[in-house]
Amino acid sequence: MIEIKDLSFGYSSGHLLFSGLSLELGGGMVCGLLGKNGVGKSTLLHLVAGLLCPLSGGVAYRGIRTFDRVPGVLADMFLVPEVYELPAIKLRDWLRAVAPFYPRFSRERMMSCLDMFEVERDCNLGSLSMGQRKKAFLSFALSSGVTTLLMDEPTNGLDIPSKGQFRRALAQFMDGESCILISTHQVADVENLLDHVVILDDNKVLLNDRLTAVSRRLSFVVGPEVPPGALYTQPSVGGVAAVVPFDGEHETEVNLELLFNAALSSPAVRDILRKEAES
Amino acid sequence: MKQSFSFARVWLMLRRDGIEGRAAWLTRLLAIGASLGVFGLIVSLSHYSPMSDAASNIAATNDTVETIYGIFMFFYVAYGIGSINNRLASRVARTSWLMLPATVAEKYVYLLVKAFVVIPLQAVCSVVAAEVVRLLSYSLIRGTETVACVSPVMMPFVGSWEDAAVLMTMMVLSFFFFGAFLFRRRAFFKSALLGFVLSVVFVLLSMGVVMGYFRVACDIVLPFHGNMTYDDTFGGALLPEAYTLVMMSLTTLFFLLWPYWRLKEMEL
Repeated sequence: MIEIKDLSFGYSSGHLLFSGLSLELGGGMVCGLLGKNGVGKSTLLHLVAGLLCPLSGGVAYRGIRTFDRVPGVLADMFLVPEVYELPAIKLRDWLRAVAPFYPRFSRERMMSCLDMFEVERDCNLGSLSMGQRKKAFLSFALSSGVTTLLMDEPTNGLDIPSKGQFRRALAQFMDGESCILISTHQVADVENLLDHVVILDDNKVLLNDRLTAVSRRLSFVVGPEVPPGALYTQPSVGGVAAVVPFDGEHETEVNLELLFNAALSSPAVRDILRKEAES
Repeated sequence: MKQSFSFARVWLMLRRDGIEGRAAWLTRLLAIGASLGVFGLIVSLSHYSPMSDAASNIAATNDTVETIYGIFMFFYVAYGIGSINNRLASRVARTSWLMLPATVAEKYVYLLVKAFVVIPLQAVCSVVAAEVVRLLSYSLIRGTETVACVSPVMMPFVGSWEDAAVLMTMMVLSFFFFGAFLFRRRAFFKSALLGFVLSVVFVLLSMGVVMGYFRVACDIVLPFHGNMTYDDTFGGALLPEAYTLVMMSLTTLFFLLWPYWRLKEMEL
């Protein structure tokens, strides 16, 4: 669905954010895009959305170059940016203005999302708080009927109950065709939703794989002591959190924060992830 | 997935603009109508002479008010066109604009329609509102005397309705349209400054002040003054008026078409 081939991009000619980056994302996945500050997560989302033009290589959506900004592609893909603006008008007027651009928009789903997020159906967008505006915008994104959702820090500004509501709403959005790409630092907010993870580091893709495949290569354990053969450890409540090679029997749930830190810090972990990817 | 041009999407963009900007425009309409109307009223009252009859009083005010309204309309439209992309100065606004499901051509046509139809209509509505304020206020103050309504639709923006004047106006307004895509911030003021600089350079060149051998026909510099001496640099191959009209048309076309390319290449 999303094909990125030999992508090179940088905001200035002297410093490339991506160099020869290749990535493919298909339907039926919720993909987490992780990386350190400044590595280019938001930039990658913008490249996928066609908001930026690559220096070389290509970004395509169902075979069409995204920078061409074809309406069919734009109506099938929705970007929830980290910062956005909504006009100070009634929500129903805003829907009248914007919804017609998305042929598969569902008003029933919109109302259902608003109810789930506890946002008044007949509110004035100008009088909402930042968190409430975010929930209204997320409701529209989830009701737009698009196949692909690109989300940049979607849980920023949401209170704790709203994060749970967001997870439920996102789970309802998913079907076998849809693809959700979430760039976030708040991995705990979306950990239970993700089934695929992409880790960016130093202008390349460090990891691009299903979490089920990762859990069959690495195990994530927490204990009072460092386990034997640990590839990476970090302090944790209860002692030490560690990444060890999968023993072939006891599959553990992937701890995304631990995986991210291990992938960035431990050459041994990177080797295991790379070997599996190459095989 | 590739889709051809759709006027329906252009209409949707205009509709979206109208819905989102309705409150702001109504506020602006009331403010301009009131202030311009009061200004016109003051002008009307200042022309009033107790020694003249009603018809004479009416005639005395109309020319002045017509000029004021004409100047207002021109600057309103020029400012509106020059500021048409002001909101795109912010990254956030550019994101939602670029992600709007419409082709580049549709977005371009939408901007053209907004610049050369919607904004002038808004200017006309403002002047109509001003006229209503002026007429009602004048009637209240002067009693039975009334002031003939100055029809804003028939008012030229500048001088007269000669073809070259209309083309000159289009060229100036299209220059502001061009400037709206050339400059990201404060486009109207930067365009005005650029236009002033270009005009000075052009006049200096035309008069041969800078380069003696490059001196175009005086009629190009001052097309409306037919009594200027005609200096045929080009051997009389073209009539000066036709040359002027062709050059102005090509310039206008360039100012209108370049923004399409700019829109196509626009990035976040």
